[in-house]
Amino acid sequence: MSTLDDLATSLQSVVGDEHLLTDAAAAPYAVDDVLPSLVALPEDEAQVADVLRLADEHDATVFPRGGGSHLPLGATPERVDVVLSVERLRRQLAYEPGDMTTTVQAGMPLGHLQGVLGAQGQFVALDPPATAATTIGGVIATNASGPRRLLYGTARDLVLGISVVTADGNRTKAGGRVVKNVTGYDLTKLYIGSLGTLAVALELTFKVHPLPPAEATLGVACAGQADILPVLTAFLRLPLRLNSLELLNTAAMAALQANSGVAVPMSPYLFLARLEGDAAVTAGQKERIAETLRGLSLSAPAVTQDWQPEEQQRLWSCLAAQAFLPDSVTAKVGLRINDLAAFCADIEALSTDPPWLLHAHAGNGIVSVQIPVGDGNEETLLVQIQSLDACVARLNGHRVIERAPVAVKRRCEVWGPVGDNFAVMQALKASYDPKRRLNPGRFIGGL
Amino acid sequence: MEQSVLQELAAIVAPQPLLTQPEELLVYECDGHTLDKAPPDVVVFPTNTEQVIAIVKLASRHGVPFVARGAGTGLSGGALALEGGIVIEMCRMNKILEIDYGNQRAVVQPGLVNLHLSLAVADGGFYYAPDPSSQGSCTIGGNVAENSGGPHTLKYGVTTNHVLGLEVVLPNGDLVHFGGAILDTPGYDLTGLFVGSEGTFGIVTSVTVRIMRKPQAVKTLLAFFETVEAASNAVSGIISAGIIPAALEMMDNLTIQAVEAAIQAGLPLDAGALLLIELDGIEDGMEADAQRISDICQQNDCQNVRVAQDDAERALLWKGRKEAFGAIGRLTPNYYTHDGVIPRTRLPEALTRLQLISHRYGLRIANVFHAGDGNLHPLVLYDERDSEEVERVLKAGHDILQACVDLGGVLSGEHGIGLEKKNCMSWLFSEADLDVMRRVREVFNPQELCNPNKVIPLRGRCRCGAVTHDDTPDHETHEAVAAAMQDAHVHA
Ligand SMILES: Cc1cc2nc3c(=O)[nH]c(=O)nc-3n(C[C@H](O)[C@H](O)[C@H](O)COP(=O)(O)OP(=O)(O)OC[C@H]3O[C@@H](n4cnc5c(N)ncnc54)[C@H](O)[C@@H]3O)c2cc1C
Repeated sequence: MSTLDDLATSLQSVVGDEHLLTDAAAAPYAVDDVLPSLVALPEDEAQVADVLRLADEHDATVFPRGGGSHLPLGATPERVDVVLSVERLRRQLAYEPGDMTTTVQAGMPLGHLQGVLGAQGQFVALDPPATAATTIGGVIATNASGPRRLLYGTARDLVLGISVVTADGNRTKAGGRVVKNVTGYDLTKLYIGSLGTLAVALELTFKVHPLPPAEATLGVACAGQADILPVLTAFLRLPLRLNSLELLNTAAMAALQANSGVAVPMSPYLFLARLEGDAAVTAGQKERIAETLRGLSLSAPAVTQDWQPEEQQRLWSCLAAQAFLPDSVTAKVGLRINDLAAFCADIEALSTDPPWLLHAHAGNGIVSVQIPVGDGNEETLLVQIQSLDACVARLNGHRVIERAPVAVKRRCEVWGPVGDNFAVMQALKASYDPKRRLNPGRFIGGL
Repeated sequence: MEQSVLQELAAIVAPQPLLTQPEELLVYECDGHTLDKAPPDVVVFPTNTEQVIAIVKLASRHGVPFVARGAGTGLSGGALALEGGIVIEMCRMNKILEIDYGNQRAVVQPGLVNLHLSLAVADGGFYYAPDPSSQGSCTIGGNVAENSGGPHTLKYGVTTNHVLGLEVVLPNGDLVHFGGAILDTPGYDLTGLFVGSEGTFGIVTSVTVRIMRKPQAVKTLLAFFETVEAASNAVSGIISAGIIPAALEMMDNLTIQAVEAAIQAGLPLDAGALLLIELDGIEDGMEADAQRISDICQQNDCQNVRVAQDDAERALLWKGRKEAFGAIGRLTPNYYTHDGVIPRTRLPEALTRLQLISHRYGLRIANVFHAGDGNLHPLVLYDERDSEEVERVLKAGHDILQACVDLGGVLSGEHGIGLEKKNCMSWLFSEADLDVMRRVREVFNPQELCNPNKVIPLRGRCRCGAVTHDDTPDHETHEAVAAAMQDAHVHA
């Protein structure tokens, strides 16, 4: 009997027959088209630990998984022995609305959690692109974020504590369940965004926020790239309760209009600003924005656009869903906030055909660039990624290829170059997972 | 320490002198945690990163322990040279290197005084949010090491939420960069891991921080209650109503008396507790929120709500809060500053437990703390000349921390574990949890020379000398800010 067959037998006795998938049943759990030999679906902490321990004993690699919606992030693995899915660990373990904290299991879907909190007028201020399957654990492992990060920050600002199981099957924790805490090293930060390469997340404690009384969205269309910086600066200087400030180019706007069915004022660039407050407060803020825009000297007056509340909802949900656009290479680019306009100009100058979709969290300097695959082959896509990289490098930014056809991923540096701190990252990986069992090769520099 | 090592050290920082005489070293025997003392062999004042690298390499080569020190205001013994060796005093590296308003960033050296950064960017309409009460003297490097908080961190977060990048000299002398001005650097969040590592992962030589626009409007309210229970219920009420004030601070009667004696702000001496509540943000809607807060206070048997009428009154109220520790110092020869956290809803229970502890040990306990995030600072009053009383103070301290942990809280919200609370770590963390932390430290600090042995048994004692500062910057402060700014690159 091969080692993997042997492992399968042992795992079966841990998670039970129906929760150990192989062959065709395992196919939906493929990692970048690489089929896993085994898929284990443990139901509790003890089983997670047993799966990890057994995999270790059998020299098998383990790929932790939540809902699979962000699984394309990471370099393509050579071989996938075991996918460890935490999708059955989906309970809320603690929630005290008065403390504004909650503890949940890693496999709980994000949407489910928001529903429970919403009933108490609260939410976890994380709004990454998500499907119904997206789990809390997956969001944290990939450090996924969305437009609201402008006001609320990202996972590093919202996760208070975490329990994990390390590759040797030991359960450990860091942080706590209170909103302010410096007791011990802040390992929570280390786990966030570590892509399951250090440990498997079991439980997470979040700081929650009160839902805003209401929101209002305003569109501001710009006649050209030259108007981006003055409008962005105006937004960031004005006293507003602004939770999101997105910038779209024409291609992204066209996609948004097509997907949402909501009319969008077609223009070279469009800002989508989302304000918080009751109707009177947001009306006052909108007025202030309009007045300020009138006072700017722009290449052409900025056009503002209001939408019905229901249309606003649809715009935001479709905008998030665009992250999952099929048949495209999606790159996440990080820039200084003030370099956004220059970046847009550089991309325009490439005159790509078909045009790339640009969607930025404009107040944070984070841009999603989507290169449609069209009928382009692997080679042309790689050339396009090179052009993108040149634009990013010119502004000293960084970029990660979040999604791409597997053939392309295999031939490009998904995470970009490593820095002078890479030896520290390698040493951390070696300390946590000396035998390289967890997601080997998927993270930066092949960690 | 060998004479040859001292000579090499002197050559690195020449013409800056070294401190080696016993009387010169007295100041460096301890930090704000004064019960434990250990003199270093030498104190060195580097003026640039290259010197720090050379010092650390020298220490590493000779197996000499070393510890960075900022202003020495730490309250958990972090800057103490427990095993002697070199204190690397960072106060000469106090320049602001860059201010970039458009990108909302500043790059500063670690020895810069916290308040000086806010003052330097004030004219640009900006400030640096984390505001420890010691901000007039503590350094950004110390803040990074301790992950310091402050009254306004309820809404805006603590140091870690505002530090985006670090330049670090690792304990082997390698110079590395974590994070930076741009968000979401690919790879592990080494910046986040480093902040709060209490000087045990290396020496910070430059810090990239987020600076924020000053809020359009600020409103400061003071609400008086007959009892701390009523005040705690009001705190819960405000939070549950979905209002997050910029600050939500509580003082009990003993503190009110002390503060009033010190600053004469017209506080009612018979009030059992007061809440200092600050709203900030946009003007629209602020009046309504203030009214809601006022209503919630009234529903919780508030005696009176006072609204600061102008900046001067607001400054006075804050002066009372920020100097409360010092004011308590006038009531007693010594006091022991605690720092524990509990879930917010357990506040009434926690305060009752504190009263019981006070009665049990026959000790006065003053409470002045960040009520909004459940971060307690019980100050235990005592006289160090009375050794029997000191024993009771230590026992009371133990019980206070135990109460925090019993109520689902933690050992420290902002002052750190350092030397002081190491023994209590096992109350919260299993041996496996602590082992992971040890191994992570080994990654950075394999020789254990960088701030060694802060993982030692707690002696259960802590008190601090009061560091006071005036909120209105004096001439000296202006000069210091101007000097810090001398070579700064400023972008609009
Ligand atoms: C009256 C008073 C009020 C206080 N109020 C608050 C408060 O409201 N909130 C709060 O959080 N704290 C408060 N503190 C605690 C203290 O001020 C903070 O912990 C502060 O951050 C310490 O800064 P420092 O420059 O004095 O550091 P030090 O005490 O000199 O050092 C503290 C730690 O930082 C390390 N360190 C210093 N510089 C560096 C560097 N460059 N690289 C690496 N490590 C370094 C040291 O090794 C040490 O471990 C208060 C203290 C006092 C005395």
